[in-house]
Amino acid sequence: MQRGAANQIIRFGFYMLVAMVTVVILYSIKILFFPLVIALLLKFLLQPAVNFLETRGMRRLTALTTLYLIIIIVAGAALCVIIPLLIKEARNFSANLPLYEKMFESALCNIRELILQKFPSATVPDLYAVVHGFFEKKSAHFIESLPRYVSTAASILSIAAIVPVIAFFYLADGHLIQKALLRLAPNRYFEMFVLLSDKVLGAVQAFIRGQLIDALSVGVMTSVGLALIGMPYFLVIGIIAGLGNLIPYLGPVIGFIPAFVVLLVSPLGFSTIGLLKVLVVFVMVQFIEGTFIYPLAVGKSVNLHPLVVIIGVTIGGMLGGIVGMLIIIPIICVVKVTLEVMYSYLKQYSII
Amino acid sequence: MDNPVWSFFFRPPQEKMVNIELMKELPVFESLTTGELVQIERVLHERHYGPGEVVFNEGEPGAGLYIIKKGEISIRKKIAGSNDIQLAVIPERSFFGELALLDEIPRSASAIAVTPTILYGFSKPDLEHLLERNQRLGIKIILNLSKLVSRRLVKSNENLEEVQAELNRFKQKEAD
Repeated sequence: MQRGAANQIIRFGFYMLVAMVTVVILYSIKILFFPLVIALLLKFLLQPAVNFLETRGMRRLTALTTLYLIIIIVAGAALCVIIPLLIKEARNFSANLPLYEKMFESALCNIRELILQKFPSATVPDLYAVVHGFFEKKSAHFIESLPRYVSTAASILSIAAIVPVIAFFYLADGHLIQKALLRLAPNRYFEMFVLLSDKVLGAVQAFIRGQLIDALSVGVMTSVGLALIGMPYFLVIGIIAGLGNLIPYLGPVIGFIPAFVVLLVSPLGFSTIGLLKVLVVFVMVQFIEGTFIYPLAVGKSVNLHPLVVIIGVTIGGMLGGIVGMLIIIPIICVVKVTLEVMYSYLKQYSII
Repeated sequence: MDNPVWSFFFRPPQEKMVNIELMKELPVFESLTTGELVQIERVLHERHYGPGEVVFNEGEPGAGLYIIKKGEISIRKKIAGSNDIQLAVIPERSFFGELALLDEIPRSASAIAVTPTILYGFSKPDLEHLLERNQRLGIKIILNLSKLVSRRLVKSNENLEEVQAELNRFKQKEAD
């Protein structure tokens, strides 16, 4: 009897310990949520390359290390080219800022005058004063919260350092995580969980990989196209266009807006030919992306109705600002793919 | 250590070697090296079933094959107009459900544990991942599966011939 009580105390102590470890793990997951998710995206992107090296006879760990070394070398070389370019663009921008302000002022005055010419009775506020006041407020706010931005930048850097490490372990032992989770499935539903998890993960992985490849291609093509026509800040506009491409239908517009603003404040003055050139670049990029890259990389499996996109982007914007707008559509697509696969399987198992 | 979740984290290493010895006896893993068997052992799913517990039901999509480490499995089929009948009892140290590795067709019969049973599941997604990562090993398994299926086809043809001959003899007798 006494032994039974002692056993109970030991069992209770053990379960308490497990509960504490679980709480600590959950708390760490809360802190590390973003690095964990970004590392998962990186895993999806690198998985085929690791598998390819493995089929060439390499051990998984050797394949992973080789791939990481190649990425470090290539990324290092690319950064050596890109970072000086970005610095040059930033320096140019700050040096030309007074000029841009003047160009912007005259462009807005021209627009105001044009409106007043067409509609003399209309009362049009001084557009430049409105915009200037807005930015002045913003810049004062920016300086006030500069320390916060610095700490945010530091945490972004620490995330950037931790992500490849987590991705490495996902790639090395990802199947063990999946296997451990499948252990929790009841016997009756074990087979269903095996097939369902494989199909859902496969579909989500293919979609995310496709989206990332698609965004990268649009970013590179836009940058190269704009560089070819001699557009300043082609790299920044390319990055914005690539990120914006995650939102269907609105993507091209998001990329075009900064290009248009740069045209507007151009030191040579706004020209229709310049606008036409930029339009040609954007239309060509969209044509190549829509005809060749998207069908190959993402496929037609995740077609969202335009109305769903508009409602989704609005809700995403309300919930999480620009970041929310960017990530809401991939999230909707992932949920859609998951539900589609689950529905077909639960039907086959006569559960619904 | 009966709980499968705990046993996953605290598994004695000698158990791994026992499983590999068991796998060496099975025709589906014929001609595989110990190194290759270790790779497969790593992805196997250990499952524990009580007597009467269903492993899979007839008509459901099949996920893969099972190796019986301990216990017995009854293979049962529904027959229209009567209770289901037992087609076979699969003993310890053998396997069943291998067709699901080749195709996700619905299970042709149900599998139910007769005694307390420990199974090792090797799923179709596991085989597909192995094929992606180690084609040589994946092809060896598929070749072994093809051999099993072709042997079974030859056996089925022989059975069919016997039944046909029996039927002819019966028809002849009826005509006389």
